[in-house]
Amino acid sequence: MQSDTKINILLVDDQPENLLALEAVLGDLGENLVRANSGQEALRHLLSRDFAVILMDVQMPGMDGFETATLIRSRARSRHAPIIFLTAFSASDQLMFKGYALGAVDYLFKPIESSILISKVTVFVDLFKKSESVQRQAAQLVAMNGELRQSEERFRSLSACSPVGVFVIDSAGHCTYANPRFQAICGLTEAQSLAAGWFPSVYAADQDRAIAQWMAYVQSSGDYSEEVRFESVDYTLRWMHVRSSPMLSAQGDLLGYVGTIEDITERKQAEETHAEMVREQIARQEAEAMSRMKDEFLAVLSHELRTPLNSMLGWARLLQSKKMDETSVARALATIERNAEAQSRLIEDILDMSKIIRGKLQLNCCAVNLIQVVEIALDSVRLQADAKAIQITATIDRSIGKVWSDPVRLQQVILNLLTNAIKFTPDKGTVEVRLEWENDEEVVRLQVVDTGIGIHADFLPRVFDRFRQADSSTTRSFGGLGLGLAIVRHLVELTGGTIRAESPGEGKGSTFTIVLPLWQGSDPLLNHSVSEDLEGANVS
Amino acid sequence: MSRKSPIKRVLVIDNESYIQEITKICLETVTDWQVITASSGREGIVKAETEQPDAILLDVMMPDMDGLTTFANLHANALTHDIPVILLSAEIQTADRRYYSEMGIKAAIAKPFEPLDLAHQIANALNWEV
Repeated sequence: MQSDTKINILLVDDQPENLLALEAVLGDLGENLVRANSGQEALRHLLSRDFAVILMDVQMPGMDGFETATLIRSRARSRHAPIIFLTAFSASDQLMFKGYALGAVDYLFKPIESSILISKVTVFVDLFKKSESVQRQAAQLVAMNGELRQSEERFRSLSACSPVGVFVIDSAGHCTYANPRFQAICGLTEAQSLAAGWFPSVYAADQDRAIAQWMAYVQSSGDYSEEVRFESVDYTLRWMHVRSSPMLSAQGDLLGYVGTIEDITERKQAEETHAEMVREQIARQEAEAMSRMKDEFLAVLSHELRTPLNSMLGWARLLQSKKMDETSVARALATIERNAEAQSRLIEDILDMSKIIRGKLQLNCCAVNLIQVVEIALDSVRLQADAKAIQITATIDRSIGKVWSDPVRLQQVILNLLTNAIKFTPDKGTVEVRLEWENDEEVVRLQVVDTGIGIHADFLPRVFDRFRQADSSTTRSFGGLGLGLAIVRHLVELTGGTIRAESPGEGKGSTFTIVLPLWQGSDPLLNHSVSEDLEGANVS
Repeated sequence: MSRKSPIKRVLVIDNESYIQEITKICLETVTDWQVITASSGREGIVKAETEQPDAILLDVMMPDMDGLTTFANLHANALTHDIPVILLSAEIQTADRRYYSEMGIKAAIAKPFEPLDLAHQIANALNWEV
């Protein structure tokens, strides 16, 4: 109840002018003045509300002041309502005693001195207010006690029935609370839990880590959330999710840490099972992809090897069975030879790849005159290029010296790039060879640039993978096993060089770039033998 | 399905010119058949429509349109639907033979074929007399 709520004061007199006079005097108090013209009316008012004080005329027709007071006192609600009797004549002592016996607290004689009336009424108003306040406080106290009991009960049942372990650790590190689930998880009694906390239940091998993580948490301002293995009394391991947050007072002071422990063993097992299933599925898919790739490779291999075989076999049988004119015989033999050569190249590639895979490929390195090797390679592909009316141009920096490499393999690499360029360039295109310094005088760069079918950006990163051509129809269109560039890259890398492929896109040509370190040594014997090998070749 | 014409006409579809050549020579050496060649599936379909050969010898592994796709096109085309098709393939497994037969392919001959026996293999598959 608010203090600005008005207090009720009951005025009882049969004379309206007396009531008016009382109202005039007491009006300044600002309280609620309730008028009653008779004892009955006063009792009616008392039925519905409480009064701080009752000012009552003794002499009233019908029920007089004393009778009214007797009835007021007989009701529990109004038993303690203070009554001040007002009387016009100087009452006898006997009459006054009667009044006091009926519970009157005072007597005032008419004419009433207004200041006395005000001060007396004020006393009772204050008293009423105080007692009301005390009652209010008492009621609040009762309500608070009830809430506290409820809250305690709620906490007790929450904690007791909680599916997770709950603990509290004070700022000094002592466990001050552990709920029943905590005790069950840790396999401890309440007293043991409070003495030891949860660390002793952690699996021995994980204890140091768990303690270190907890110490780090205590020193930080964040939350703690770790998955920890607990070892139960029967030595089985179970996964627990331990979480904790600092417990702060309203002022922000650290009171300790509240935490939960949740058994997540089943979730962990489900996750592990799921992960295992995913791993198995990936392994299965990889195996299937590998098997598919192998099947495709075998089909291509079979086709590539048997196609030339079919021609050779066919012509050989025809030569045996049928009389042929000289021109036809020559044609048959030329066809057999070309097909045998094609098959031989395929077999060489397969053997090279096989050696590379087994790590058995060996190089016979020496200082090699790069310009000569390039020119010999250019010469040997010229017929092939002419057949497709492809123009080959060469830009060669004559100041470039020797590289340390295997001359036969280097020749193979350059020939492979040139034949690839011719193979993938349409008729009347161009193939350009550039041999120049990379950027200093220790590294040289050999580029083969064509105006051919180009390489799709998606395929560029895989262009040097073995068994790869952009798609199986490319394999069919252009023949071959898709081993050439894989072998080339391997050979280049074996001699300390690098190779890269660039293409602005499909149909826009390709550029293959080999970067080789220049030979820095000086071994006249080796140089000589290489030069001799190359001198015999027909260099254009 | 054979035509009434006494001289058989066979269309060979293969992208490898050497194979076209050896097939043609082998068949023409042993029989009096007339051999027409095509270098791709697309060219083969056009020649099958216009030339109406008595049989088609079709390579499985070809660029652009492979043998099975070419066959599907021939089979779906009313003009070429009834021309018997024999496949030429580097690798034929038992499962493949059943699959080919269900598709309506008359026979499959493995590469490398026996040159002088090729005509007999075709004739046997199609019940022709050589």
